[in-house]
Parts: sequence; structure tokens; C-alpha cells
Amino acid sequence: MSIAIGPGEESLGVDNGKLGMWTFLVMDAMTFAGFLAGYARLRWKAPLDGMGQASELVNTVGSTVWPNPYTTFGVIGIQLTAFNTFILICSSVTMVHVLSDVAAGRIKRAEKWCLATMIGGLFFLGIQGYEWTHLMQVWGFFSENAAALPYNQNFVATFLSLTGFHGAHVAVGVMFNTILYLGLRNGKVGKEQYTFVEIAGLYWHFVDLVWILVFTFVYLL
Amino acid sequence: MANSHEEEKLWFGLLNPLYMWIWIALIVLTIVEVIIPEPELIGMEPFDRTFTVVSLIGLALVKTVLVAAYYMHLVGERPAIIPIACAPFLFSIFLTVGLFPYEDDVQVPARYQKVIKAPAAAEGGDDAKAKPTSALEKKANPANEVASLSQPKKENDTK
Repeated sequence: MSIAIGPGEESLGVDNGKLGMWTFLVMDAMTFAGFLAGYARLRWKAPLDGMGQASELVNTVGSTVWPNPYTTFGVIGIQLTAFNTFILICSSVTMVHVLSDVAAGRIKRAEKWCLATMIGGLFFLGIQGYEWTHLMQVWGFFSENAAALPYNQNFVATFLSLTGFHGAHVAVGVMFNTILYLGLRNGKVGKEQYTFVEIAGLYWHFVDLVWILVFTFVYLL
Repeated sequence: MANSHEEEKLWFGLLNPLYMWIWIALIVLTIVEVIIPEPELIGMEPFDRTFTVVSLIGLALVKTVLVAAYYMHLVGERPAIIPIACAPFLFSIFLTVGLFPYEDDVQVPARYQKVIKAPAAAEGGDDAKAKPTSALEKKANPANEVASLSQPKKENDTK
């Protein structure tokens, strides 16, 4: 009995590379599930800031006052993040076009869509970087700032972990797409390497999928 | 063994026209998601908190399923992939059930507790002077290791 391990070989009727990426995504999804469940657990009992008597109490583990997203980020902040979500959804559809064009042998078009996907990812990271630095200044992370606002440590820890972990995935996705773009440009990725493009697409769509959940749980609820 | 390229052609014919429709659906659902917590943006009355939470989670799940099914091609994928892809959802359910805070009171060890007055109280405002000491101070008992920080359920669940 032979074992299928070479490129293009299949297990369970699925290309090995694709199966490997799915297995990785499952593991990654479980990590995100852990982060989100931890966030939900900490958030569940903590009253929102500005909701009655809770605002007069703060303790050192920061579990009593959970900031209201709309007062912490501000409406502009939420809408900026909604715009970021829009960017990521658009980059997902451009990634689908990369796959579609590579399958049809339209490599030049695929190259352009791939470039658009990369730009979308970089734009997303730029906005998130702006948001992080803005919040860290507000919270007085960078210097002794007398005007720094008090913050809930549980919120800050889970917020930075979730968005940071996701941001790291976006950064890796941009690198992945850069490799794909260079491959398309140099003629090393063509119709025959279709599965490689599909694997890159799977990763990118997963990043989009996770952001949908992070956006809902952290920013909207 | 099945040829991957033959398989691809099958679902490409099915999915290609759908890509843009899925994209439009995702955009529309995102707009709805932004409006639900703040219906004032379009001149509507605020919704009930429970409705807001349930509908936002529902919309997020719909968007997730759309991305996984159509952009990640699960809808046309080999059956072997489906249970693999669904595993994290089962894990999330177990995790959420396991972590769910069933107790009414949040127990915080006394050594972690530190009461800080609200800014108005710290400045010695009249309102602050009139207020009794915080609920935490009242409940904290030096004889016990932990103090209860129970909050009325209504306040916890309302925005």
C-alpha cells in the first residue's frame, strides 16, 4: 500500500495540500474559539461602563467595569472598523477572482486581482495600526500621561490579544499573497498550480471569516 | 482517484455567478449589523438588548456560513472536508458551555480588590459626599478571604 505524500497527491479524495491547510485552519479556528470564549466569559458578568452603579467601582483585576464599545471606540471608531470590515470583505472577493482567473488561465488578470487583495490587506493593517496607537495613547501606554483614561485590564488584554492575533494572521496572509503574486508574475504559478492558489485563498477567506466574528463580539455587542 | 481539475470545473460552473451576489449579501449584512446597535443612525428607536445580541450573533453566523460555504468552496467540497471544517464549531460550543458562568455571584479574592472612588468622589463633589460607601466596601469582610461582587441581573444584561 502506497502512501500519498507527493505534490498533487490526494488523501480522502482531496489534494494533500488542501487537506493540510484545512487541518491547519481547524487548529487555528480552535485557538480563535478559545480567545472568543475567554472574551465572552469575562464580558458576560461585567457590567458595561456607564450602566448604573458599576461605574463607581473598579478593582485591580478590572472585572467590574467593562467599557461600552460605543464610548470607548466612539461612533467614528466603530464605523472606521466597519469600513475595515468592508475592506476585508472586498479583498476576499478579489481573492476569489484570483482563483477564478487562474483556473481559466487568465494569469495577467489574476495578477491584478492578487495585487488588489494585497493592497486590501495592507489597508486593513494600516487602519488597525492607527486604532491601536490611538487607543494606547488614550490609555497612556506610551508615556506618563496625566490625561490618560482609566481602562479595564480584562478588556484591554482580550481586545489586544484578539485583534493582535488576527492582525498577525492578516500580515501572514499578505506575505502569502505576495509570494503568490510574485509567482504569478514570474510565470511560476499558472493554471497547473491551481491548487496552490486555492490554498492561499482558503487562508485568506479564513482570516475574513474570523474577522466577521471578532468585529461582532468586540465592537458591536 | 478523482482528478482535482475535473472536480474544480464542476463547482466553478456552479459558483462563479454567485461570487458577486455573496459579496453584495456580505456588505448588506455588515451595514445591517452596524445599524442594529445604533438604530438612531437611521432615525429609529433603540432595540431591546436581547434582540440586539441575538440578531448580531445570528447575522455574524450567517456571514460566516456564506464565506465558508461559497468563498471557501465548502458547498462543492468533498464530504470528507465538511466534518473537519465543522470541528471548531463543536469545540466552540463545548468551550462556551464549559466556561459559561452559571453562578450568580462573581467571587473575587479580597487580596485583589481595591476600591477606587469615581472621579467626582475623588474631587469631593457634593453628590459624591452624599453617596454611601460602595457596595464592595460594604460587602468586603476582613474575616473572609473573598467578597461577593454580585450585581443585579438587569444591570448586567442591559447596555
